[in-house]
Amino acid sequence: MTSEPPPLTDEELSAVLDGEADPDIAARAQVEPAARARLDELRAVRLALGRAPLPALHRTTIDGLIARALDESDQPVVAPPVSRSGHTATPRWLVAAAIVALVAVGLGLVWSGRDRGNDVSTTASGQLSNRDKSGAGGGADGKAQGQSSPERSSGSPRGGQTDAAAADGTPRSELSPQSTAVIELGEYRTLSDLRAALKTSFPTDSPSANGLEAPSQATVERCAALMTQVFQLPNPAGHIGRARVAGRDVLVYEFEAPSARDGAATTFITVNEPQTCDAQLSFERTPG
Amino acid sequence: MNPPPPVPLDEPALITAAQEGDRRALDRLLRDHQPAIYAVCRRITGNDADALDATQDALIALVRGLPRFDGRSRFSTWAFRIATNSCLDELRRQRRRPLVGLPENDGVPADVANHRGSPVDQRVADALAVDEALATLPADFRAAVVLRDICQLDYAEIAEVLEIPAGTVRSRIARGRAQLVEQLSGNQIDPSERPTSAP
Repeated sequence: MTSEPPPLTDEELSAVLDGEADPDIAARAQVEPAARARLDELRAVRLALGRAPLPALHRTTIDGLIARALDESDQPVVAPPVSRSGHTATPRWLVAAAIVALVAVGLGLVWSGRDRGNDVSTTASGQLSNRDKSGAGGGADGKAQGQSSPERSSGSPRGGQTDAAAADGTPRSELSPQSTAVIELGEYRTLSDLRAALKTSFPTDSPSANGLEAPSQATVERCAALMTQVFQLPNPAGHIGRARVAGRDVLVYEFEAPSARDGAATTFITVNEPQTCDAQLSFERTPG
Repeated sequence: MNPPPPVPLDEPALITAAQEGDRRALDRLLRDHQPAIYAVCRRITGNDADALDATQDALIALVRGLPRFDGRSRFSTWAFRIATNSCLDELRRQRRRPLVGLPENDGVPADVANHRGSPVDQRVADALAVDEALATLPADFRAAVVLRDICQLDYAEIAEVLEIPAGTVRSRIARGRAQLVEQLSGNQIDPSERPTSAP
């Protein structure tokens, strides 16, 4: 009298799923009810892994990754700088993406600046740097002109500017040329309060938060690039703001994008922690 | 002045051209494999930022190591090996970023828009569930499962990538999947109650 074989193990069934099992094991897996049920469970996991969506990388990000790798091919092999904790100080993909984006923004600013005759900001705080043109009075003049940049940012059409930047061959960055100025949005008790303030429009007349350090252009662009990539946004950020919520700085981005609900044109807003770019809040502002 | 020769279309010729210093060929080679490398890195590291770091490291390592690639294995297998090592290195040195959400009792839910036009919740939920479930696996199990179910490598190739015996590959994949079944189905059955391989 022959004893029944032991039940098929997960290892055997997993191998059946992958076509790596012995023929007799594979045959048993097809006829034994318990084995078939377990096989279905393992197969479902494999399908779930294969079907789970991955965020698509933006072209700028990919270009930055490739460019950095190509540049490394020209360099002698040197160990990258590593902090004491073992973590690199600046992620390399950020450096590459920032370089590509800054070049694009810089080129766009040069062209648009020539046309408009205005000095444009190269710092995220919105303060203009006029040292090259105004000499000793550059500091005060820069601050005064910096205060006018929010009005220029809020009033100008975003779509036209970004189309122009793409049409002349300059690569699009995640920031439209006139959006590099960061608008001070003020202080809020909670994210809910901030959301309420942003619900109908991007406030441009909020009082400046005194004594706060402006975020760097690299930080602003890094978070913009990541949000564009994660949410697969078709356009660069139109408005950028900085707010203080419950004592912590956040960056606020506005993007023109089709609604996830019905595809209609809408404004998509993200609120991000500057260091990690983690989205703390995101919502659509529906017009009307 | 003669125009530059066209970039080779078949991969062996592309690799040879890249090894000989053809920058356009190298660019094409990197772009061809970047999506798969990123997919592996994203699933192994579990988050976008670490995945991009690991992808960048992998592409750089691939470029630096290209002169030594001898064609004994498929180029993709070799690239996955580099990517996997890059990811495992990243996991070893990563610091956990705090998860920040809306303040408690805020009462206002965050709207997460999905601009692919499909239902927000399901696609995001699927991705999050997979990421969360994979995050519960030990890195070595996670790598084996990802290489099999995302990259479609066979056991021999995975053994080559991870530099472990094929039997160990088989075991890690099975145990990883079993754990994922428990995580994704919410099944509270103790995995130790399932039949396991004989010691």
